[in-house]
Amino acid sequence: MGEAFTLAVSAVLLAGFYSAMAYGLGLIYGVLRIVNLAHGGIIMAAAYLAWQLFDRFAIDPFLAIPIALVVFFAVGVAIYLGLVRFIPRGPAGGVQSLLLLFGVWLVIRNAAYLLFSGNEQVIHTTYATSSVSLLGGSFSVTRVAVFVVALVTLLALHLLLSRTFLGRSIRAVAQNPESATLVGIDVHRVYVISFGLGTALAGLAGVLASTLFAFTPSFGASELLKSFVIIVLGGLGSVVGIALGALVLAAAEVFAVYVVPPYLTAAVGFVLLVVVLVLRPGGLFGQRVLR
Amino acid sequence: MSPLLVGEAVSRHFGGLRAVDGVDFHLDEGEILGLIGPNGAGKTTLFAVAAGSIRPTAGRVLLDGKPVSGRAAHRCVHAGICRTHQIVRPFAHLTVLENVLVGHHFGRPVPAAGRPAPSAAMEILDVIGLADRAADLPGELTLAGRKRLEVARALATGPRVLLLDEVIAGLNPVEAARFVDLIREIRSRGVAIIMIEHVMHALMSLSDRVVVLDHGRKIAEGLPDEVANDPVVVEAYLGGPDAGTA
Amino acid sequence: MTRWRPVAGAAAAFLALYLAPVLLPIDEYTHDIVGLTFVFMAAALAWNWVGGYVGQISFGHSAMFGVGGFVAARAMTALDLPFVLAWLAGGLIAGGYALLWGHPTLRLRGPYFSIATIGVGEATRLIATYWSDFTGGSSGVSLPLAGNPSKFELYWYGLYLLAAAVAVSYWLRVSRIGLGLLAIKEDVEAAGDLGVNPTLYQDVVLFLSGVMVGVCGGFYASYQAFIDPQDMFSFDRSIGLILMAVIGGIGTVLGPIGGAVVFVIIQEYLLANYSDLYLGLYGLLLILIILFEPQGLTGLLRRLLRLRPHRFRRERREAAT
Repeated sequence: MGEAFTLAVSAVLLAGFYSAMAYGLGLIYGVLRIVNLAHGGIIMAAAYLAWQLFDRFAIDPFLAIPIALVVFFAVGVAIYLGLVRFIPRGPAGGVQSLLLLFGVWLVIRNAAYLLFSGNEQVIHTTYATSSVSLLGGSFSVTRVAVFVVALVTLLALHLLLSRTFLGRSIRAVAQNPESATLVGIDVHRVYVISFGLGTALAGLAGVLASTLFAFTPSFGASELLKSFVIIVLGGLGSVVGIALGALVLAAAEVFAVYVVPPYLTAAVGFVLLVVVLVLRPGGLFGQRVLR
Repeated sequence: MSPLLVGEAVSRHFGGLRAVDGVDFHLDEGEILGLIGPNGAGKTTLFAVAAGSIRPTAGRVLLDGKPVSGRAAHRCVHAGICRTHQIVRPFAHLTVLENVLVGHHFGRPVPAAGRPAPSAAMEILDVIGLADRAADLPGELTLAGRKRLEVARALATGPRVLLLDEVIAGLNPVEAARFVDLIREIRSRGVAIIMIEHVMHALMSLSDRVVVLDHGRKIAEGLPDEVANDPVVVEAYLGGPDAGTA
Repeated sequence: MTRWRPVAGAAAAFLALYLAPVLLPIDEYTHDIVGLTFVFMAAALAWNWVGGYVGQISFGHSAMFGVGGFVAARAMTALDLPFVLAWLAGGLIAGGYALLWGHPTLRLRGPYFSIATIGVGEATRLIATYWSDFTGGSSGVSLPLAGNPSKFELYWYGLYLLAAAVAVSYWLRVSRIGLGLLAIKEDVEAAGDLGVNPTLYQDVVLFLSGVMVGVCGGFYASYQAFIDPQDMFSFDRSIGLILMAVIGGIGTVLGPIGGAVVFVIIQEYLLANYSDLYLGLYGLLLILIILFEPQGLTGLLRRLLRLRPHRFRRERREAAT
C-alpha cells in the first residue's frame, strides 16, 4: 500500500474524532448564536476526568464515555443557567458572551492546574500500542476505536435531531426562535438542553482526546480553533456537513506534511479557516452561517 | 438625453431560485420610477443589486454609462446611488443628527467642501422634518420618525439616485400624505428616485412611470394608469399565487 | 469650549507624571513599575481601538507585541539603530504584519474574527519559536547594554508612549473616522450603505493598533534587555491586553488606563504571592465584570457619580443645538 493511501486512511480516522469534537461547538452556535469559547476548556477537563477515572478506579476511557456525557451535560446546564442566561442577545451580547465564556475557560484551566499541576499526562491503556490491519495498512487500535465511537455518536445525533420531538424543537429554535415560540416550543428549555448537549459532546471529545494525545491544563486551544474551522467549513446545517468539514481539515493536516515542516501543521487549520472565510463566507458545504 | 441609470438584463439567482431574471430598466434624470409586484417578485433583490449590496448573477447596472453593479456598497454610494431599507436600521446608539452625519461625512468620495458638516446635516433634518429631534436617539422616534431618519441619512450622502424601499408602508394616512410631499420635495432637489411601495395610491400619484415585476421578471412597464389597467398586471396581483408562471 | 477641557486635563496629568519622579521621593522599584505600566496602558488603549471602538475582539495582539519587540531588538543588535528608531521600526513592521492578517480577516465580524485571531496568535507564536535565526528560539535575544536606555530613563519614554496612545484614542473618538467606526460597530452593512468603507477604516485602525502595540513590544525589549519568543508571543499577553481593556471599560476612551493600573496591581502585589491563581483570578474577574458591569471601571465610576453614559455624545448634542 502506498504512503498516500495510508495517509488518506489516517485522515479519515482523524476526521471521525474531529467531527465529534466540532459538533458540540456547532450545536451551541447554531441554536444560541454563541461561540462557546470554553469549548477547549471542557475538552481539557474531560480528558482529566478520563485520566482520573482510569488512574484511580481503573475505568477504561471508552467505558468512561457515558460518565463524561452525564457529568458534562450537567456542567453545561450549570454554565448556561448560572452565567450565559444573563447575557443579552444581539450584537452587544455577542461580545459579552465571548468574553464571559473566555473567563470560564481561564477558570477551568486554572482549576485543572491547581488540582493536577501543569505536568503532561498520558493514559496508558493496555492496548495503547497495539495496532490493527486495516485495508492493507496498520493502524492503532485506539484510533480505530475512537473513529467508531465518533461515527456512532454522529449517527445517534442525526437520529436525535431528525426523529425526536426534542431534536425537531432544537432545529426549529435554531432556524427561528420567534416562530418556535409561536408554535408552542419552550425556547428557554431548548437553550438549556442545547448548551448541555453541546457541552456533553465537548466532554465526549475530551475523553476521546485523552486516549490519543498527551495533555496539560492548556490543552484545548487548538481543539477550539479546529472545531471552529470545521463548523465554518461544513456549515451548521447537518451532521454530514460537519463530517465533510472535519474530513477536509483532517486531510489538509495529514497531507500538509508533504509541503510544510511538521511544527507548522498546527497552523494548517488557521490558514484553511482564513482561505475559506475569505473565499466562501457561507462555508464549503453548508448554508450561510455568517451573521 | 441618455438615461441616468440603466439596468441591462439584470439577473440574480439564489441557488435554484431566480429572484431577479433578466430585467431591463432605466431611470431618467429627475424621474420617479415606481417598482411594484406581488410579494417575492424580486423588487428588493433588484434594489440590492443596484445598490451594490449583492452582486448580480448576470447583467449589469450602469450609472451615467459606467457600470456600478458588483461594486462594494460604499462605492455605489460614492458613485451616487443610495438605498433605504424596508426594515429601518438606524445606528441605535448614535443621535439622529449623528446618524445623518454618517451619511454626510462618508457619502461622497471626497468630503463635501464648504459649510461645516453639522449645519449641512441640520439642513437636511429641516427638510425631512426632524430638526427638533436632532439630539434624540432613534429609539425615541416613532416609526414614521425612524423612516424619515432612514431617508434623511440616505439623502445626506448626496445621491443622484435614491432607492426607497417601502418608506410609506406602515404609516397612518396623515403621515403617509406628508411622506408623499416629502418625496416630491426630494425630487425637486434634483434627485431621481426609484421606489418600491405597497401603498398603491401613493405610488401611483408619485410615479412618472411604473415597472411591474412578477417572479423575477418584468411583466409590464408604462404610465401609472396604463399599468393599473393592464390585464397581465391585474392577473399577477389577483390571479392567485401561480398566475404569473402560467 | 468643552472640547478643550479634556485636552487641558490630559496636559496637566502629563506634566504631573513628567515631574513626579523629580519632585516626589519615589523608590526605584515603584518608579520602574510605573514606567512599565505606562506602556501596558498604551498597549491596552491600542487594543481598545480595535476591540472597543470597532467591536472586533482580538485574541491575537501578542503577535504584534512580539513582532515589534524582536524587530526592535534585532534592529539594535544587528543594525546598531538608536533605540527610539528601533522601536519605531518594530512598530511599523508590526503594523504591517497586522494588516497582512487583518485585511482578509477583518471582513469577518464577531466570533468569526475573534477565533481567527486566536489562530493568528498561535500561528505567529509557532513560527517565531521555530524561526530561531531571528528570534533566538528558546534561548531568546539579549540586547546590548550600550545604547539601551536604563529603566530609570525609560519611565519618561513610557510616558511619551502613553501620551501618544491617549492622543490617538481621543482623536479616533471625536474625528470623522471615529463616527465611521461607531457606525461600523453598530451595523456594518448599514454603514456601507451610507458610504462608509468598512474595510478601509478597520484596516486603518488595526494598523494603528499594531504600530502602537509593536512599539510597546520594542519598549518592553529595551526594558527587559532580554526577550524570548515564548514570553513575547504568549497567549497570556493577548489575554492581558483584553483584561486591561475590559476591566477599565471596553470601548471607552480612557478606561483601559484604569484597567492597566488594576491589572498591574493584581500582577505585582497579589499574584506575586499567589502565582498559582494567575489565570483563574483573571477569568473570575472577567466573568464578574461582564455579568455585573460590562463597562468595567468606567461604568462603575459613572454609576457612582450618577453620570449619564456617553457623556461625550451629550456634549456633541449640545454643540449641535
